[in-house]
Amino acid sequence: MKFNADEIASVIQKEIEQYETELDVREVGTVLEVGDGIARVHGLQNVMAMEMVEFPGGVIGLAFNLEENSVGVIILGDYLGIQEGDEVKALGKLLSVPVGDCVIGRVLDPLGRPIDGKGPVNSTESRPVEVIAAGVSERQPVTEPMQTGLKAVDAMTPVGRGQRELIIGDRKTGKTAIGIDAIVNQKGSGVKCFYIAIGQKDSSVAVVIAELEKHGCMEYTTVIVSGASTPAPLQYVAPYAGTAMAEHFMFNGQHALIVYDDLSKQAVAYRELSLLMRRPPGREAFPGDVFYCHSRLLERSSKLSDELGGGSITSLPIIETLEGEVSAYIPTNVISITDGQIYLQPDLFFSGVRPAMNAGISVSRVGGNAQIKAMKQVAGGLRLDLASFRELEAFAQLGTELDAATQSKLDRGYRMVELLKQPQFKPMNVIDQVLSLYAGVHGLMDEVPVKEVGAWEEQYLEFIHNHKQDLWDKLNEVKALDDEIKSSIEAAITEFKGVYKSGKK
Amino acid sequence: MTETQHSTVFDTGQMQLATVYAKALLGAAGDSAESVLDEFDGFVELVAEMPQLGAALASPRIPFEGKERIIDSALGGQISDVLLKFLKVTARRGRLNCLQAIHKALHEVFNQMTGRVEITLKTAVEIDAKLVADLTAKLQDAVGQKVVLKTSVDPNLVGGIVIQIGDTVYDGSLANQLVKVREKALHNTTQAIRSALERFTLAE
Repeated sequence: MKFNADEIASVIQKEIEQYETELDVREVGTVLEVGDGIARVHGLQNVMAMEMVEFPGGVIGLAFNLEENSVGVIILGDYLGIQEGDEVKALGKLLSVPVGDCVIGRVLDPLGRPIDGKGPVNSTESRPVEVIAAGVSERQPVTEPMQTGLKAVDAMTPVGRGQRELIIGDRKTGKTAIGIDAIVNQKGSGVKCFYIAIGQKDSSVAVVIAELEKHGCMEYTTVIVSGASTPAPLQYVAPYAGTAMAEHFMFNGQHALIVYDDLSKQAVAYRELSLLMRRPPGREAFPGDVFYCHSRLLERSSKLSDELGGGSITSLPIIETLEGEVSAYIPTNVISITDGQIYLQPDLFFSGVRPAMNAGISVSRVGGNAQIKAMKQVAGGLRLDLASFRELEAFAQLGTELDAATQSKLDRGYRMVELLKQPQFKPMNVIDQVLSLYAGVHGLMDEVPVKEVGAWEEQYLEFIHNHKQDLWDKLNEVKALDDEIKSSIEAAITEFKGVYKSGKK
Repeated sequence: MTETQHSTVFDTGQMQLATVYAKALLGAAGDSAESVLDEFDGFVELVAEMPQLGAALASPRIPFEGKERIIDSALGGQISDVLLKFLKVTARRGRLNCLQAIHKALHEVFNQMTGRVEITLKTAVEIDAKLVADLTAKLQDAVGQKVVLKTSVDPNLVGGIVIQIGDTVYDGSLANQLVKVREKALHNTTQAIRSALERFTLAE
């Protein structure tokens, strides 16, 4: 492509001709000291808390600490170019990010600037990064399911639209995988997804983006990246920026899903800022308002009332624990803020149970309200059964002689555990989930060897789709199990068993 | 603040301290504040001319009795009693290292007390006294207070003037306008190109 220089010159000439001189009035201060992503500024008498300021070269900062003699500013960008004595200009506005359909499918930094090389974000609208969450009268209870496509999660700790469900566990236990699977499962549901990577290795973020692209999820997903090499102020701001982008959809009656990966790193970034600003340290050296830092963020996930369009933001915050220590400061804080948690355990993960969810201490405080009726009927007692199976299993390892009832309970348990295993990037439709859980819960696969459960399930669902699509459609329509449907499911399973046995390798 | 530091370097702790000393001196001077201020200006100039004197006064290694002797022998009889006593008190408190800051604070507090505003005027070239007087009169009308105009020259402005009142800057410089034109032209041109690409490209 060749550009026509004359044409461009004419546009520029017109701009210059039309330019009207106007006096530039600004409030200024002077940099006293700068370093580690923060600056202390003298002057800026009338600056307000969290107001944007501009350093030479267009670097943006936020007035973070207002002190008697100086203003503490966090620098959102490259602070190495800023020098002592530089002029700082107050911009008189709050930090805001571009919002709207233009951010979908993009990889952005926490200020909404593209980092995917696909050109500028052409937004017409923007929203302030920090806003107060919707109040009580603007909300309604969470009742609509938000399917994650994972049997274990949807059956035992269901997530509803507008809920905050914490994913918590040690490193390398599949926390991100659950979030990504939930995003993959939103394909075609109209839910806009936001993956916010905070303090992560850029290589792992690149892997996530590649996987999302491979599974066609970037059509409805925005990735916000503030990697491990970005300064702490940007890591601190990232989740608020992502939430602001999601709120645009919520307030327009649409639904959004946010995965914060992860909030422990954000808390660490906030601790760094606070200590540099000389705010007094508290427990684990975190500042006193680290709870507020997370609660005001997660409170913005909500289900709006019908008058406001009924939009929602569902969030899946991730917290990384150290050596399974859930009673550390940040994990307890976020557990108490969220509406439930999915607890992932390393020993389960390494023994091949993936997702490695511990059924005993994982809960969803919204519970059955966020499930379709059929799932509620099937999975009602599943979580408790599985938890009691874990206890029984530990007892059985002692090698004691077991009575027949206990043994059968154990056998059922082994099969259920096997049934709840699910490979990554293979989210399941909720009706499929109901059909396969029905078989497990009602003991219709007790005679299937434990090792074959996975294969059995796969062929069983294939059989249903190939030969009993009418049953599937009916269940999808009523979304509940009545006697008629139950008997036809059982009949279908009996029929399938004949086929399965004969088709055995 | 010592002379070796850059003029934009602030020591906020020292500044706060200096304000306290400045208020005390002006309070003690009472009606003769203006003449004390003049004497102080002279003293600061003297210190600037004789860096060794400044260093000796600021040095913590010389006991305050020594400093008092220096002040007495060098300035006794030449300056008012109030200022002499003030300098001795400052020496006794080991705060003579804050002389520059106190000097600055004195002017600020004095302006505040007498209802004057200090305005900084920056221009690209030296301007004549008549223009300065005109500007001062105009500014006095605008702010409604007596104006103390401080002028400085900054060739980087290219043209026009920049006025700073407190922390607020009124920028009418040519340099600033050129930056603005550039930003606006760049923005509008890219937008025009994006909206009608065919207009700006040549057929091959």
